[in-house]
Amino acid sequence: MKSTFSIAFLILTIVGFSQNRPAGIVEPKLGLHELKIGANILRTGRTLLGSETKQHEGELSLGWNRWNYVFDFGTAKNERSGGYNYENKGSYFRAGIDRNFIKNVSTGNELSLGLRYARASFEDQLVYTTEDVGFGTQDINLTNSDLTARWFELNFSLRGKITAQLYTGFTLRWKFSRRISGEGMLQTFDIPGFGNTKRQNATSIDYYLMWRIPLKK
Amino acid sequence: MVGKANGNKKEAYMYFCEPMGKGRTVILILGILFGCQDIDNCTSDSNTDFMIVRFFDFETKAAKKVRFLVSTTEGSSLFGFPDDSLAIGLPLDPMDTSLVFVFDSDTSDFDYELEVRYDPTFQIFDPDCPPSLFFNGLDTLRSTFDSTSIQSIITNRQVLTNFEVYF
Repeated sequence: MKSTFSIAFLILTIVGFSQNRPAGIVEPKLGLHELKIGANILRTGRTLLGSETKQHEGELSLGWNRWNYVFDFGTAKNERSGGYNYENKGSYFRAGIDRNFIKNVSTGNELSLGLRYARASFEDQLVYTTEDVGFGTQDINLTNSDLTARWFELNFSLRGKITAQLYTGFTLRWKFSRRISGEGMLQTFDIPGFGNTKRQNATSIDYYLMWRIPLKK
Repeated sequence: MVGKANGNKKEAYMYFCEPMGKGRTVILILGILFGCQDIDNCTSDSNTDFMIVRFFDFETKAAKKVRFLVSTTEGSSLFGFPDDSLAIGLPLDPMDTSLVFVFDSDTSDFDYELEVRYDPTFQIFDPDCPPSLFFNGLDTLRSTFDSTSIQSIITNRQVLTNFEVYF
């Protein structure tokens, strides 16, 4: 119910902004005007610096007038230990649309608000030896081999030109309405692309480096 | 004296009401960030790996003190409760989904049996703590007590009774 309200609020906000234009001014129609290809340098950077979470993510963004059609794809591998071993690995994608509020969208700069649908396919494993509570010490080896998760995201993005066709910027994400399927005796702790499952909702920030290919002169 | 008090008031006003300097802004942001960090520790895990059985008199329905030696039919497990207890906590085997408990009382020649089913679930409560275990879907499969009643199907610190047993 909360998610339904959030989605409705976002759509109303985006539609409201898009209609807030002075009368008599006709906005030029750019049509399909750009393609941006990028990498999430925050996740890759953390991986290179030796984080226990190994992640890589790429982004494709297609600019159509004031709307950007965005597709992300990423992989993640988590290894946690401390008297136990927990491994979680898989991939995820996000697809969605952003409304760009920058005056001149043909510059490639962005200040946008958008919505994403995200889905992850992954597996996890726990290896652990229990304490003796009356049944002796027991070696636990649990695997969920076919896990899937889906969630939605409300995104706020900023992209700015560095030089030539090179752009950079961040995306703030609020992830909600998460659902996991395929769990057995082991409840999964990490979801690739989402984060840990301690809370039903999550927030994150991603930083991108992107190359812009103009599709209109 | 009055002047000093006024001076303190002014200082207090300046401290709280004047636009914040950069230093204070940074401290405030750091405070908010660290304030939002998880403060989980292993003791705040509310999962438990045992069920709680509470005893009642079948006729009067009053709480009943018992003295049992409890074992499982699988053999090796033996849990002693020598003191008079109104309720006992019985561990469940995470490698199985059902278990038969045998209640041996030194005041009676008759052994009672209670067979329960359950779904064991492991979770990482916090990466710095050992994996957490709890049991869900608790149910009675068979009982030689006069009557049993399920109060909660999940094992948890907040749960005071899983099974009520009347005999």
